[in-house]
Amino acid sequence: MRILVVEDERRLCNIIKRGLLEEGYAVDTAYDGEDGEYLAETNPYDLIILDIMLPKKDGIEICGELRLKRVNMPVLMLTAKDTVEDRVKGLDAGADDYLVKPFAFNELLARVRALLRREGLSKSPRLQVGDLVLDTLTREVWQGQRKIELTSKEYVILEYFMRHPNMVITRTMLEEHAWDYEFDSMSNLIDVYIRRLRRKIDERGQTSLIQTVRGAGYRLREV
Amino acid sequence: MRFAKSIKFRLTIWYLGILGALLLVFAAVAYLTLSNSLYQGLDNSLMLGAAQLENSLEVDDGSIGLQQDNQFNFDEQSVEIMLLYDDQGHLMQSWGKRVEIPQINTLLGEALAGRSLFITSHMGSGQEIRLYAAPFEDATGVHAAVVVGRSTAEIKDVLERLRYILIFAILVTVALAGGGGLFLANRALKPVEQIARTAREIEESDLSRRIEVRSEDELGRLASTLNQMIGRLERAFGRQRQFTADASHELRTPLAVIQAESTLSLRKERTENDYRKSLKLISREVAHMSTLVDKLLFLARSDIGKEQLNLEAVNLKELIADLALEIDPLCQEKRIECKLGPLENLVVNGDKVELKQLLLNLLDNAVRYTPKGGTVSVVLVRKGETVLVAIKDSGIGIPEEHIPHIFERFYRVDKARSRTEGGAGLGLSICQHIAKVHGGRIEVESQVGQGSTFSVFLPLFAKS
Repeated sequence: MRILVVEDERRLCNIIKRGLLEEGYAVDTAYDGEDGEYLAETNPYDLIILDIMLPKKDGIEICGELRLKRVNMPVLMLTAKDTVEDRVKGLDAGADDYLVKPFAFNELLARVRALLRREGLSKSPRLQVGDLVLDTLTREVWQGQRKIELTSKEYVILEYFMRHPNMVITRTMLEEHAWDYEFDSMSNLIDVYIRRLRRKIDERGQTSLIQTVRGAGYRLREV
Repeated sequence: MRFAKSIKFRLTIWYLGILGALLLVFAAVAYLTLSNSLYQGLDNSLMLGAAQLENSLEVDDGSIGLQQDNQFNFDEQSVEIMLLYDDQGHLMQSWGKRVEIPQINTLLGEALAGRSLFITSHMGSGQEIRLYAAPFEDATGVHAAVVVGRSTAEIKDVLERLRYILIFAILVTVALAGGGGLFLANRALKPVEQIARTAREIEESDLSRRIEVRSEDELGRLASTLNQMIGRLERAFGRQRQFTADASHELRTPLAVIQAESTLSLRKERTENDYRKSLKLISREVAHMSTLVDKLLFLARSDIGKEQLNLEAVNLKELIADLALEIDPLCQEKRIECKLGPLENLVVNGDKVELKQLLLNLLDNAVRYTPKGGTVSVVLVRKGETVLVAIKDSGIGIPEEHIPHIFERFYRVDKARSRTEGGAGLGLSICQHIAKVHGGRIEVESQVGQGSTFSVFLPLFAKS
């Protein structure tokens, strides 16, 4: 899951980025409205965390314009403005949720999870494909009774697959949703991660849960 | 009661009072003139009647009688009663109505003594009669007396009718004028009520509303004056709201950082080093916040005018030398050359702590916005009766369009930039306030890329 954080207060922005990275999200940041809008238009983020008071262009404006351009990823407004009118204005501009500063980090993460869940096919915090279960709250993955230990990047890739079961996932989609913009797409890192994931989740002697779709990408098959 | 106090009521009352008084005077004059002339006419006709009778009398051998070729005609139209007495006071002949005349003896006495006179007599029935007595005389003496009289009833009747007409006319005129006056006053003052209603309806929340100005008369001017006042209020409220919003944003930001950092840090077990980093970050935010609160408190105190200046003679040369020492580490860190001079030995009357803060803020800004290797210079000179402290830097400068606003609270030329430098946009506003309460001012000259000069003018201490 790839998240864009647009927040002009660099110290706060850095903390948010650090916390989200810890949770295994890929995070890009922008410190002003114009940069933020550009990034949001050119990358398929799964979520945008958007401050309202920004230099150059404010969050309400950005959100409105993104929605006009049919950029539909969930937007979480993050702001110091807490009057009812401000909230209404933010939500009416197309934001999906609204969090007032100061906020507890756990709440931010919970709201991020809720918004991401809303976008996927399943509304449950537990994703299940076959006997594979992924709990987005505890970040644990179980296969039947067996707990699978994953690195954070492996977890992110598996989560993306499990949110879109049976769909063809291209390398570009993985790249865009599991890595931030500093990722070098020429590397075969994705293939490396897929190999590692297969090793961890596949039972010996069976065909892999993650199928290769020749010339397109991968697919997580439901058993 | 409210109506009785209203301008339109009082205007109408005054108007009616004056009109009524004028009408009364006019009516009184008209009435008196007419009544005078009527009575005068009566007297004239009585005299004429008496003269006619006398003309037709003749003295024959000591006895009086009507001439033979008597032309005399008793004219009841003009004289109702006509009596002829001989010189002994005996009634010789009478014309017209027969009535008892109570004062006949007085009349006769006077007339037979050779004097003519008028009297007004009351008869038993309460009627009033005007009488004229005249002697008939020739060279030899008084031979007879003529008494003529006429009731004043007709005159009284006319006058009474006139009185009624006048009273009625005055009442009707006053009533009509009252109604008309009220109507006119109402019409003239209607805009006032509209102005008052609109002004009542304008609340703090909709100060953008204005009173409709329809005319260019006094009321139109009143309305536009009120509108200007509402405009000033609107701007003042707007500034206040902006200030509150800015202040809350400024305070919430460090709080948000503290909250986010601490809750993030507590999410799981971390290394001691991580905790140390978090606490450091938090303590930096707390320090930032407490300076901000100090500045806000300073401005709040200055707004209500509650600050107290501890005035003393402050030697600016010494103060600047002290400050240069204080700021030296900052300069060294950025390899900025801090040039002092010329510094004249000048003294101002002021609060040393505040003046120090003023100059320190400006110096701090100069160093902050000057890139590495630049220069900051301070000059202290006397200009007539004022002291000039000029702080010049070779920094990034201020774009011209921002210069009029840089003293406004929370105003930042480059929002993103100065935040990271730790400024809240209150420093210059505090500087300006300090200069103002010391009877001075601050001027700014700046060129982008070349640097800025902040000139502080303060009044010279009289004794120095």
